[in-house]
Amino acid sequence: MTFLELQKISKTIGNKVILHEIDFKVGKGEIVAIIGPPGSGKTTLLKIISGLLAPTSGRIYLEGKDITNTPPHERGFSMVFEIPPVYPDRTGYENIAFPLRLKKLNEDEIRKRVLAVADLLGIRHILDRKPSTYSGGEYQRVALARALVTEPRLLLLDEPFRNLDAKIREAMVSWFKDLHKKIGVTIIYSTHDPLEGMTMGDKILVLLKGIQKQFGSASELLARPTDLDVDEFISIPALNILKGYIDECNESGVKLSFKNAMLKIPKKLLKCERGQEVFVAFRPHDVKIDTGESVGVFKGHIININYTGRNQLVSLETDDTIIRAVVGKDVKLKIGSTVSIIPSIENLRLYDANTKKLLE
Amino acid sequence: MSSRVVVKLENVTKRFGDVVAVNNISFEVYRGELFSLLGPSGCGKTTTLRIIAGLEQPDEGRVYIEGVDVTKMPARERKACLVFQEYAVFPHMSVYENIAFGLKVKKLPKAEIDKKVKEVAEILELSSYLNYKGGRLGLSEQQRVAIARCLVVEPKLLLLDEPLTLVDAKVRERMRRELKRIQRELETTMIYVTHDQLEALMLSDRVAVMRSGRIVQMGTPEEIYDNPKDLFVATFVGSPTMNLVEGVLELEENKLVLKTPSYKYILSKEVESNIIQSLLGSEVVVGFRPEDAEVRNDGVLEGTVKLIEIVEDRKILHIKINEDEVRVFVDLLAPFTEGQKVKIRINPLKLHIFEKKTGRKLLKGVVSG
Repeated sequence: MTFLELQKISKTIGNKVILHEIDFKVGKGEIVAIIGPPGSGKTTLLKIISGLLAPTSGRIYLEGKDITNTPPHERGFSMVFEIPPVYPDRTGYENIAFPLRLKKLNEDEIRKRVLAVADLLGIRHILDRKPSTYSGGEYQRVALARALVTEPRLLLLDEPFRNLDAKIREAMVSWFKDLHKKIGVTIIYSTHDPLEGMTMGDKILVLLKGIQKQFGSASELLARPTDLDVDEFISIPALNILKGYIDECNESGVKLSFKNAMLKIPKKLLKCERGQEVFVAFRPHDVKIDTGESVGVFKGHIININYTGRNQLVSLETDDTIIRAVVGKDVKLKIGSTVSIIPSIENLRLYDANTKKLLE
Repeated sequence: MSSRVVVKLENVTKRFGDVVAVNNISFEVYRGELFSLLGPSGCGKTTTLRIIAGLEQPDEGRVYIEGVDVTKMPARERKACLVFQEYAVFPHMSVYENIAFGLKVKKLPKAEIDKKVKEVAEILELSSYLNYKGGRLGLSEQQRVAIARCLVVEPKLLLLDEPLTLVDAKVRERMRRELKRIQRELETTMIYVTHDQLEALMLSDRVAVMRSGRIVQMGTPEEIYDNPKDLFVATFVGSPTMNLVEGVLELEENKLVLKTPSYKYILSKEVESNIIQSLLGSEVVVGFRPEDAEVRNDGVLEGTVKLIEIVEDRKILHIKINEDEVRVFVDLLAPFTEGQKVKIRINPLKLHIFEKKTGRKLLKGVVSG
């Protein structure tokens, strides 16, 4: 069932289009992750949903009711910003109790609710302490507790994990998913990190330069990015993109030609032309390299190796481009040596060079 | 002192009031090496870097740069260049002027300045930004300008304090690759401070893992990852974090068994009893990395899938086994669902066994290779 619906939400400031026709639905209890680089409009979109900013055009519906012009405090949402304003001179308890005091709840009720949310978030030990004594993770949890204590209908989080150390962040993401299962609140949250977004979100909105590029589950995004920009944004390490031409395309597949190479892939396209210029994209995880004299599609020499613990990320310079490959760490490789590069033909995607749209 | 050594710290200690920020640490950094100080907030890594830069005075111990005792030498005389987390790029100057600044101070001839600035800009992919004002740049470009400004003066030593923390995920991934390449091509000696274990693994020739002012382990990224010396290093390095199960080790019909108060885990079907004998009966923590276990029908541990996450090219199943939760990788498109029962098998060569009391590593692998 649709809980929240955005219909063609646009925002322009002066002549500048900040958001263009954002349009998606959120089910009750879902987590929607808005992913995009800095400056893509994520915060603006969250502010519009919260009511802090008005859209230039478009409507927002909550359970079928138009709330586009409803003031923020009447929406019953909570929003936590990237650097949450936790009051430094107040204890954890007072920080969490603050929004309830604004609502003029009685002291017993406040106490009951603060303790319940503190238990839920595992921060009972900091209730008597002031923020200067908190760790990064504790600080973030207090901010979250304050947002949750009012039992919001919708929780909006702007880059909640951005300022945390990598290791704490990893733990917070798992912890948060677990917490969400218990409380089931509907969440819309933003991040610049596509991997974090795809881990957290039931649905993901890819927002690039104010444009809604794609909306779907992580598996849908990974299996079928609708255009090259999406594919490029969600791939970490960076996507491999090669320019090529369609030589042949028929029932049995597509034959592609590159500057010094040919590649046949068993993919039947609905529409394609001989001579059509395409981008061929594949993730670094979908490339094999061979140090022997095998017949790889491309030849390249190793210009860089980054060890990642589980694997090694290898950068290879070919005739006209650089290809990145993730290979097992047991493979012995040397900078400068020449290897064969074999992209996995099942896992590469073709995009029209002009429209950047996925060819299917 | 060997001329290979660019920086040497000898029993350096630094206190701030009652807090011992850096506690008797010693290490050497070699010419052309990228050496990382890795650890959580407050471990002393930044203070160590500031001591090398000359921005802090150690309370005890000596610092040498190129064989010269610089312990009392002012920062500006040390010929080390420091890049901070918040980059100080002059906003009203162009990128060109920003990079050229240090050379102008040195009063180099114009033509030489021009040549050097352009070379460095090329390496850091800033050539197309040379006329931009510093204030107009995005974080990633500012970052690179800050590094370029250091590189152009050809310092003996480049010190970087969490330079990638504030840039977004995509840029950070690219910069990790670029920095490594640049460092190798220019053969600059770099000391790099980070809390991000992946960054340290990807960039470094050697890593020093720090905790509470001390160096816990020092080695190549491979050594740190494959052979962590204690539980702290084992869990701090590696993502997702190493799986841990506590219990007492016992042998049952030549199977290695980990007994917890309420359960019994069969860790391995075959064990060379001679390597394990001394550990039997003691309280241990058994660790294994998510990539060192697999879901398979003939697995020895059974559990229920609690949560599924996507990490890069793989799915991670969070599997609840009795009262413990372990993470195991499966293929991205593998059709697992939450609530499903699965069996896992752990590679016995990749088991890490730690002493529970001290966290010290006792053994890796329970069958010989």
